[in-house]
Amino acid sequence: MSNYAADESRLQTLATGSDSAWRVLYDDLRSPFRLFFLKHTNWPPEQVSALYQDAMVVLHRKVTTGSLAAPLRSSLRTYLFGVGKMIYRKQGGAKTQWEEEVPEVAIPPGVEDRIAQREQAAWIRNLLNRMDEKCRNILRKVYLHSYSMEAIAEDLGLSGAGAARKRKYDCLQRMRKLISIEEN
Amino acid sequence: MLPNELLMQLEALRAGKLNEDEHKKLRLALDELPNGEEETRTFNQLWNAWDALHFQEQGVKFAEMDLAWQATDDTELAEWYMKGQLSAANEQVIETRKANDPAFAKLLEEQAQLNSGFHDLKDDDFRQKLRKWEKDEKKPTAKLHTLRPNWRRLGVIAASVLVLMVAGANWFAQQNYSDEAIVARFYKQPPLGNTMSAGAAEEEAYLTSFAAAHEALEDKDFASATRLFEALSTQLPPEDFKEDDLRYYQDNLDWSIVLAKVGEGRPEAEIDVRLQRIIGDQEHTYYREAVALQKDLGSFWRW
Repeated sequence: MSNYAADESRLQTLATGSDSAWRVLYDDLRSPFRLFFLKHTNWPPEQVSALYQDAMVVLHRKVTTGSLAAPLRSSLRTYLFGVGKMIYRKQGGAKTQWEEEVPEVAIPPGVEDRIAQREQAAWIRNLLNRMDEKCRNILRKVYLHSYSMEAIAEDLGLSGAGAARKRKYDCLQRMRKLISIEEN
Repeated sequence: MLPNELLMQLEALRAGKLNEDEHKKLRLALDELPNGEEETRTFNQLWNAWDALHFQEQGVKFAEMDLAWQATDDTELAEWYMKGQLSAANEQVIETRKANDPAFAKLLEEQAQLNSGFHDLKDDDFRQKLRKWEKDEKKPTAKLHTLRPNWRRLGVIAASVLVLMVAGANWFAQQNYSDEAIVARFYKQPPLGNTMSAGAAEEEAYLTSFAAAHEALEDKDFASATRLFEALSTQLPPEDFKEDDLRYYQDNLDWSIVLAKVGEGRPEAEIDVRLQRIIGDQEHTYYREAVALQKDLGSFWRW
């Protein structure tokens, strides 16, 4: 029996990307997270609020892509603090003594660099705009809304997850071709 | 171009889903391709860009969720500051803001008052408990008596019947017409849910005090309830309140003060003044209850 059964059950709902479930989690953890970082760091309230949002986005990515799944080794709250701690460090936060045990959580590269992030987002948006509606739709569903292949197959009336997966990679290849055209 | 099969594995590798063997095989397969390295780099670049777009779009969603919180952020900060839970640097941030922002300084002051009110409430509650324990301690315990001659026993029995009758009547009066019983009969806790509109800090403070007063009444802490309701009745209601809200809260305060005073055992004249004010207004939300309460307060069983 896991020590975090309630969190694991919550994780299942969150993994579907349900906006309402994420809203509840956002509201539940906001105050504890803010208090923790306002207590242990020198960052002012506005910066800590921004940190919370960044940490939540990373958590969202990890949960909806399945890279954070049961069995959990810490509560979701502690895990989120761990994400916050890593972003804090990457963004140049001063060394600090954390009272509680906060895990080291790997976070995707570039989270701390907002300018690079904006540029990359604009680039992929531009590529998407040059693609046909079907590919745009399937790629957005996969990479932004974390739909499962089964859900995509159902959504697009395809025969099954295998067909959806093939369609996804075909679209990704088309996107790759657009980059080649751009480079030439 | 990378075949789809390799592309799938490359993505799995990025997600940390390949074991060492699979990773080695993928490396070999990519090395065999003339442009394997370049393709790997380009697709990783694409996936990083997808992550950036996700980060941005999901960030917007969370920023929208955050809007609802911003109205209460200062109240929360004030509470943490007063409890000494902030880092030294953040305490300094609060103190600087307090010195430069009169609205924030006022909020801190109000929060301090509210905290002190809650402490008083806790102390009163504990005091009541102590009184009750003391009363329980003093209750007489049963004693054994030796048997008396028969002629005396008859007298004792008669006296006992009389005592039982008086005790029964007393019990009935206590159960139904004591101050506490009357309050319990007439008091109904109103819904104390959060009806705030976003940004209404003043309204939040008002509703929190209103809820605290009702909790005191519900807990039979009548002295605190009287004090809290009277404090509220002298306070200006929040500007955001609609006319219906104003009427409801004002009427509820009038009525709750009467009940709290009855529970507290305040002098009849003091209660009557307030009761007559309700009875004199047939539109008052608690008009009927006030008439019934007046009848019960004047009942034979209370003498």
